[in-house]
Amino acid sequence: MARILTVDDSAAMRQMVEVTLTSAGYDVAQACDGREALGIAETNTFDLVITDVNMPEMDGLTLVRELRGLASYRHTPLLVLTTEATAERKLEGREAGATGWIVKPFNPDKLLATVAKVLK
Amino acid sequence: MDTSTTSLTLKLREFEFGDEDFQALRALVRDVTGISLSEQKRELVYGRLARRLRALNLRSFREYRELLSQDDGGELVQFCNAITTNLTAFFREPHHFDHLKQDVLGPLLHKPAAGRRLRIWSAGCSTGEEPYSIAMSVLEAVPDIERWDIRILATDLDSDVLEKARRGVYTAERLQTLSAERRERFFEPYHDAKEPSYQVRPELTRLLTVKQLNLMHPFPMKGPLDVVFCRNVVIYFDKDTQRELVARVSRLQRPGNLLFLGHSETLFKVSTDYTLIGRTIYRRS
Repeated sequence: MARILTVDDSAAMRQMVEVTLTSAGYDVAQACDGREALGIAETNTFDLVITDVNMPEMDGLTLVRELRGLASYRHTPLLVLTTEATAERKLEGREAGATGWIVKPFNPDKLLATVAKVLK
Repeated sequence: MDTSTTSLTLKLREFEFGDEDFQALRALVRDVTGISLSEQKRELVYGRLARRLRALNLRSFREYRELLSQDDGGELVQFCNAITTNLTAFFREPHHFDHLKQDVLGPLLHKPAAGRRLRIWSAGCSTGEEPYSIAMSVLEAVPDIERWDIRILATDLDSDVLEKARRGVYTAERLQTLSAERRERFFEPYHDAKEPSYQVRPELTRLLTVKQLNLMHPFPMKGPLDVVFCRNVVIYFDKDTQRELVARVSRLQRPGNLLFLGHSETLFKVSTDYTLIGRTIYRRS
């Protein structure tokens, strides 16, 4: 089953994402911010990373840029999961290398559908 | 890596170091220490062992492997020490020490005298920077240390680094990252060294118990361990070994106790006994 890394500074949000994804059979790892996520991603392999944007230490878009710089994550789907929804921020996300953008609060079925789509 | 870069790298090196050398030494490290080095640790192996080759006047890693195969144990110890020694620093990954002060030691201050027992384990303490940073955090947070029962257990596989940890002597350069206030309070000038050096004060040493321990062997200590620093340790083990090690650590902890990992480590696929509560900070469920 696909291995997914979920990155969010809110424990409640990490838990909700993990419960949603594990219920569908995915293996889920957690990280609290971009910096932890980057460290973990460098030494582990993931098929998908889902990240929040506003986080301490390293924000989600910087994480996406950093991951795209790693050979092993050049083609890995990277989804952004955030309360931000302006067109400029989405464009910024796309330019950073994000595969898709999901707005919080998320609908579990929709999240699973997006995950299934990008993992295909 | 393509072959042109490989041969280029080989030419630039002081000692010949082929893939078969790396694979053989890697297998030996695994057999002797249980530590599994990834493909990415090629440079680390070369860098750490080049010093041994120079000391022994050898010209290639092939010669070094031959020497190891005929060795009676002396060089094998040097070999293990060279590979497992971690570069470390005082208050490395400072958020762990902040968390220790604010969320472990702080709340404990309000407990009645009977609850003032705290056990902290620095697993993989190397030359002592980590356990002494823990000790400094403890002394900064706890005003009346003599009324507490606080012990820091510092262990490592490598006997050389443990000797350094016990002595607690560091060059002034190593102390540069410390604030002047900390250096004044916790260190005193040490004159019996070539370079300007400092030694940790007895109030720090008193909190520590330094012991040699192979993490693959049964743990001699009894729990519960309120806080375990196990940073940049599991990264050297394969997943199965990580699972077994964390399961044994978990048995020494009670719900609510903490486990700190290194910046690139995770309990993903390793243990479900813990919940992530902060950056590489896990709480025993």
